[in-house]
Amino acid sequence: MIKIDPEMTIKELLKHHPGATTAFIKRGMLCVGCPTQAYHTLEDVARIHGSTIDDLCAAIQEAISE
Amino acid sequence: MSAIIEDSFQRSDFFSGITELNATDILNRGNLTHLKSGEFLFRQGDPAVKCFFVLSGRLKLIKLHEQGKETIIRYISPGELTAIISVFKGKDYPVTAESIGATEAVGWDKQIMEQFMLEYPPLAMNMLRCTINRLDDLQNRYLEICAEQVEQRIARTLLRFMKQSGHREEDGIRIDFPLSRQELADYTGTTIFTVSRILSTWEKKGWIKSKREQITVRDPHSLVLFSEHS
Repeated sequence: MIKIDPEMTIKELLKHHPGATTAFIKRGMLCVGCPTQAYHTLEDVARIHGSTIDDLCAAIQEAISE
Repeated sequence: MSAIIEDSFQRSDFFSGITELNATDILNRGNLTHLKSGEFLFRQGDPAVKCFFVLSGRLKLIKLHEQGKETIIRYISPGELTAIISVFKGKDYPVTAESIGATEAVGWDKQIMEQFMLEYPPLAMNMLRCTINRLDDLQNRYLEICAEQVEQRIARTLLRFMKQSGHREEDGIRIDFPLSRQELADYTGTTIFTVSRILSTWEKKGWIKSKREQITVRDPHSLVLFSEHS
């Protein structure tokens, strides 16, 4: 399984793993195409959207492996 | 100069598909211009004789109305091209370019630009893409002017600047160039009074922090939601 770094920005994540897109869409998060993409890390967006980083990483891993 | 060239090469779409060696050649065959803050690189209405690539600093492109009002068309950051129009014969500069902070730009005249476009075909494609992207950007802003409330336009503008020139700091993402309330008004098509009123409201909500021409977006998430749903 691919290791997801919580300190990675959304931009870096989507660049390396475009498949992660669906994780954000499914969770109703506006990260894809957001102007903050290059600045906010996975930790930041988990906090902003009121979920835990482990939850978010698990969802991303699932999306990538699909 | 070489470090700047390397940096420009790394982050510029203008050199996409061009080798670093060729990019260095292209940059070296231009004329380097140093501007202090607030100097003019070219003026609206003058014959467009040169095309410019910003190496460092920033340019503000201003379009003047005949009755004296001015509007800000866009900001040109390092790695971006301006005055592509000079490639065509007999055109005038459609805008005035003023430097924001000390700025360095490389300029090429029409003949050499034409030569480059033939010599390096990706360059011509990159210039076309740049032109289309700018048009796209202006179309979006035109739609915003026609269809959106001024609050939304200001929110989108701050987010656009933040995306283009943001600098992440402890308390948010700082827009990395001096931006006055008047400039924000000139960019969004409103008045300084409206901008001041709206920024104060957002400051109270904790969305932004503004201090002497410096704006930090503290809560981009709320600003994004506001710009899309208000």
